[in-house]
Parts: sequence; structure tokens; C-alpha cells
Amino acid sequence: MVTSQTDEQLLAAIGRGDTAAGAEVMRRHLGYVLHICHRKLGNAAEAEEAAQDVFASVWKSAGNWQSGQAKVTTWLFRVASNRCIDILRRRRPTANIDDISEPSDPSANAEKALQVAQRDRTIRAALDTLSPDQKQAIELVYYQDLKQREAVDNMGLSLAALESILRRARAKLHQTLAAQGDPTEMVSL
Amino acid sequence: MPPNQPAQKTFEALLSAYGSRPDNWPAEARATLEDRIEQDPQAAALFAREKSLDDWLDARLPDPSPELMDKMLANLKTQMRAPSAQIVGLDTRRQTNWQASTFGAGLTALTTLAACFMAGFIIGPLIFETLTGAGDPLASLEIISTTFLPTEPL
Repeated sequence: MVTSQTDEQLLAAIGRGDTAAGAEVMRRHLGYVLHICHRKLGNAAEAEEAAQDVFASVWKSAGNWQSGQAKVTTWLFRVASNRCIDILRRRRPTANIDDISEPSDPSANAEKALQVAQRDRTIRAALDTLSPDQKQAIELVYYQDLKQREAVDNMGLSLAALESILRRARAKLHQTLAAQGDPTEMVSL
Repeated sequence: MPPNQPAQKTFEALLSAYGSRPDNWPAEARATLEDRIEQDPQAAALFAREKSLDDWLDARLPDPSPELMDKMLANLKTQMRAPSAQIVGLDTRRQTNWQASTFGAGLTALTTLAACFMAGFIIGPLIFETLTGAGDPLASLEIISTTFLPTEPL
């Protein structure tokens, strides 16, 4: 089962030609890689182009991955950063490389990026503990910013039922939040 | 308590359902909710609690577009098919290299042979002239034939 495998195990499987392993790596890390690329490039189109190149690189190099060298997320960060630098150079070929290269301690940014990725996984895991109705209600009202009338029409519920579902969902998420300690300290990248 | 303010229970119910974003609150209750939060410390504390959850939820990274996922899955499948093509390509390169080296060796031999012939045509008469003092290269053949071949019939 690919979902229970570690990143290193998935890379080894990709090296053996396992497409399902590749899809799982993408599911886990594409959002993270896109986030890095979007932060560095500032626009969605180039971020998607960069992300595609990063994962093309992953497919090619996965078979050569040696576990214990570095975390997979750190490696992804470096590949993504380098690709973004190439794209930025393409934009400004006469720019000083120091203006667009990594800061003097790239591991600090890699560590922050890793925290962002971990937080994303934690939130998604918490949302996965909700019932299907609860998760859908949160998605529609919170993440998609649908108004109450649009959400009730979408779910085929009354307004009172929608509000009840939302309250239970948020109460459950509050419990998860409390179990995380103090996650309100945001990590900016 | 002003008669148009929602009761505490209603206030808590709305905030616990919709969170801290005023845009998510029912439009008709928005103004009074904002006033309540501003004036009532207990309401402000409840608002802060819901805001902490919202800030946490906001940290979820955006989902990649379905189009991007489809494109990248297609790239993945293409790349996974590529290793077999690469193996075939490697064998072809090995065969080509063998052929190239054989052809190259042959070409080198022919070139060397041609160079030897050319040298012979150029240097031969000079050697003949040195040995015989004669200017006619064909005379060397007579000398060779009389020197090495029998003059009397066998």
C-alpha cells in the first residue's frame, strides 16, 4: 500500500517503474513544491512549469536515491529552488546572480519549507478525520467561500442542518488543534 | 442587553459554525456580531478562539489544479515507459560504436596503404637514381631481372 510507505521507499519503487508510487509522491508533495515555486516566482503559470520540471527530475533520479543522505523534502526544496533560479535567470539574464540566488543559509529556508509542508499534512490529516458531510461543509464554506445559500443548495440541506454540521466539524478540529499544542505560531516562508 | 442584539447562545452558535470571518456570517447578523465582539470581553475571547482555528486552517496549501495533476501524471507514465526505450538505445549505441571502430580501422589501413604507394612513387625513382646513377626508372627493372633472375634458359 503506497500510502503507508515512507518517501524513501516510494522513491525506490519509482526507480523500479512503479507508477502508483510516483502518483503518491505527487499527492504528498506537489502542493509543497508549488508553494515553494510560487513564493519564489510570484506567478502561478511559472510555478506550475517549475513544479513539472521538479517532478520530471524526481522521476529520472529516483532510482539513484540513497537513503540517509538527506530528507526527501529537503531534496525537493533544493531541486525546486534551483529550477526557480533558472527561470528567474531566464527572466533577467543580466541580473546579478546574488540577487536571485539562495540566501547564505539555504538550510534555514529548507527547514521552514519543511515545517510548512508538515503543517499542511497535519491539517489535511485532521480534515480527513471529519465525516464526509463535515469535510464537505468545511470545504464549501471555509475554503471555497460559498455563501450559506450556495452551500445548502450544493449539499441539499437546510440552513439549520448545515450550521449544525459546521459546528460539529469545527468542534472536532478544535480538539485536534488543542492536541497539537500551540500551532497558532505561524511559520512564514 | 439591547433588544436587537443576538442572545449569547445565538452568538456562540453563529461563531462556532462560521468562524471568525465576517464574510461568512449571515449578512443580517454581521453588524451586531461585530459590535458584540468589540464591546463584550467574553465575546472577544470566543472570537479569538475561533480565529486561532481559522488561522490554522489557512495554513493548508492550495490544492493543485486537476489539469496540472493530469498533466504531471501523464509525464510520469511517459517517463516510466522511457527506461525500456533507453535500454534499446544503449544496445544500438554499442552496435554503432563497434561498427564505427571497425570502419575507422579499415579507413586508417587504406589511408596508410595509399600513403605507402604514394611514397613509393615519389621516393622509388630517387633511390633508383642514387643506386644506378641513371635517370630511367625502368632500367631498375632490367637490373633486378638480370641480378636475381637466371639469364640462361633452364
